[in-house]
Amino acid sequence: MTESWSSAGLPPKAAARVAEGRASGTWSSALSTGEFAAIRSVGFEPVGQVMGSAVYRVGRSGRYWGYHACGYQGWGWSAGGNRVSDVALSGNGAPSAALVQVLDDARRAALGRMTAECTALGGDGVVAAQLTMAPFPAAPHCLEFKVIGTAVRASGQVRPRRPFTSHLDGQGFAKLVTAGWVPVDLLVGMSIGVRHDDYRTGWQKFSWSNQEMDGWTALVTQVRADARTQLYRQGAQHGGNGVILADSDLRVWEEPCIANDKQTDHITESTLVGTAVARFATAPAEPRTLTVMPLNGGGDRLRRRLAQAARR
Amino acid sequence: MSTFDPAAQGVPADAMRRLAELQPGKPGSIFTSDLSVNEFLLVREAGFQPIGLVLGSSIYHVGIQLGRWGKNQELETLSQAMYHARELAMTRMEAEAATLGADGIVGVRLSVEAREFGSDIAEFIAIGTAVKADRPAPGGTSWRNNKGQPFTSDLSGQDFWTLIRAGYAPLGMTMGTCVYHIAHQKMGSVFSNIGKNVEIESYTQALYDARELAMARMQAEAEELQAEGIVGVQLNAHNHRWGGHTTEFFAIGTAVRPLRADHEIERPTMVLSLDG
Repeated sequence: MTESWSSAGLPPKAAARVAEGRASGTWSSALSTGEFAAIRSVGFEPVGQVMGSAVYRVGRSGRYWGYHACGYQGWGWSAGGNRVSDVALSGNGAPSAALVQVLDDARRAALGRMTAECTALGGDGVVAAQLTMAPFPAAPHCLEFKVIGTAVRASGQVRPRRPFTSHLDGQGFAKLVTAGWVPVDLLVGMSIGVRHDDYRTGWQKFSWSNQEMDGWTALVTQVRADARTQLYRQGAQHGGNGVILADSDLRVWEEPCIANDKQTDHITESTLVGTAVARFATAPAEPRTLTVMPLNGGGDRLRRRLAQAARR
Repeated sequence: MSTFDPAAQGVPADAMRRLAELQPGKPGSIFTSDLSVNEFLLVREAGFQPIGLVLGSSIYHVGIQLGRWGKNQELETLSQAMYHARELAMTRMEAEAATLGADGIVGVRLSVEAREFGSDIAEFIAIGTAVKADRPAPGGTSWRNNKGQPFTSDLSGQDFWTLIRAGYAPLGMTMGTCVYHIAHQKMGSVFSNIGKNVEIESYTQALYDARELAMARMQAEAEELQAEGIVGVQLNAHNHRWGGHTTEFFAIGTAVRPLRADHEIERPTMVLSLDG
């Protein structure tokens, strides 16, 4: 039996689980023992496993959606053929911006639900949050955006205005806090660029000599730069001092041009995931890193190298 | 060691206060960094501030090589392509860092990725974190190298920290490459070796020639930077898409210069880990 739910607030089952967890005071967490100890050592304690999920329908390729339009207007191979294609970049308001927006909305919905669970449990933030995007098996073009992590609560009376989120594991979080930094937000910067393959591209591709494919280089460079800009912008939005990158991904593929399906476009999609961090100045003198020489497991390195050599 | 108790000193409360005081949308300097938390903190401790993620990329079409396949030889067109494309990627990354006013780039990863662009075309990409030093290098000199460019280093944050502590500074990444065709064995020598386990001198020699060429080129780059030496050299063989007898030998390392005369680091503490 599923109760009706209008996508505002938490789904009833989630709300019930969270309320139950809060009332009983028993928490669950996916932290390893080491992570658990690390978090405790800097004055935080886990309050429960939290999750946010959203299933979105995201149709994308082809003329109907028009997201991957390259702006080509039929200047053609024959008409001089010298025209150099520009990159239609989502960050500059190309049609793909709408697609980036949808994906962003979906991620925000998932993150929002996770932080709602965290708040309901009385947590101050979420560590080890893992953001995934997976195809929803039951229906075509549907994607599940899911984020799962462990909510933690700081000792003391001060509560943040909104819970922080972070991809860092327990140890990473503890090290960061010890050194005087606190995570702020889990961020995703994304950009899509589309570029029409012009005459010059075709000529370079079949050249006999070494040749930089300058049009495609521009495409990839601009898309990456745009994704970085989006990440900066989001990081600055909540007032962090910096962003630590968790993951980056770049995909490139070819599609028939929407304006002229005898010609082709190249499409690039770049995603950067990271956590914004902020410095809190009142940290005690940074504990100096100690150099150590492990007495056990010393042969590991040698054994690894030998095994590597044997595999070749 | 146990004198530091974060909870007692109010660290979690401080952290939460900072979050509560965050100024949304306040313009300020924000950096992005490709470093892991450990690396990030160690780089800070070494006296450097990360100021931004920098990258350079080149999508490159490799030309057609003509050659005599019965002979051990370097395939110059291919060698040049691998060199030129990597150089383009590195230079672009350095240019980005220079605009940020960086003193150097740490944790550089240089890779070749075959994307969906078609055959003979690959992306050469260099990614790293630009850093700026809190104070000038010992002796009041600049951290940049003798070409006035930010230093580059493929060392991890951990290795970088150790290097600085030991009184060395990175100058630049140096690389050497050689794409080599190893001749197929001649019919005569195949027959004369049937049923014998012997060294095939021509193969051995081919591998030597190719590796020596790659390493000599890397060394020449380091000499140009007036380096004292090269650390962390990796000598790899890549078989991009050229078939069994054509291989790229690629040597890469970080050229270093001394910061001071003695290179003592304090004696490491011995630890015995109890978790196996």
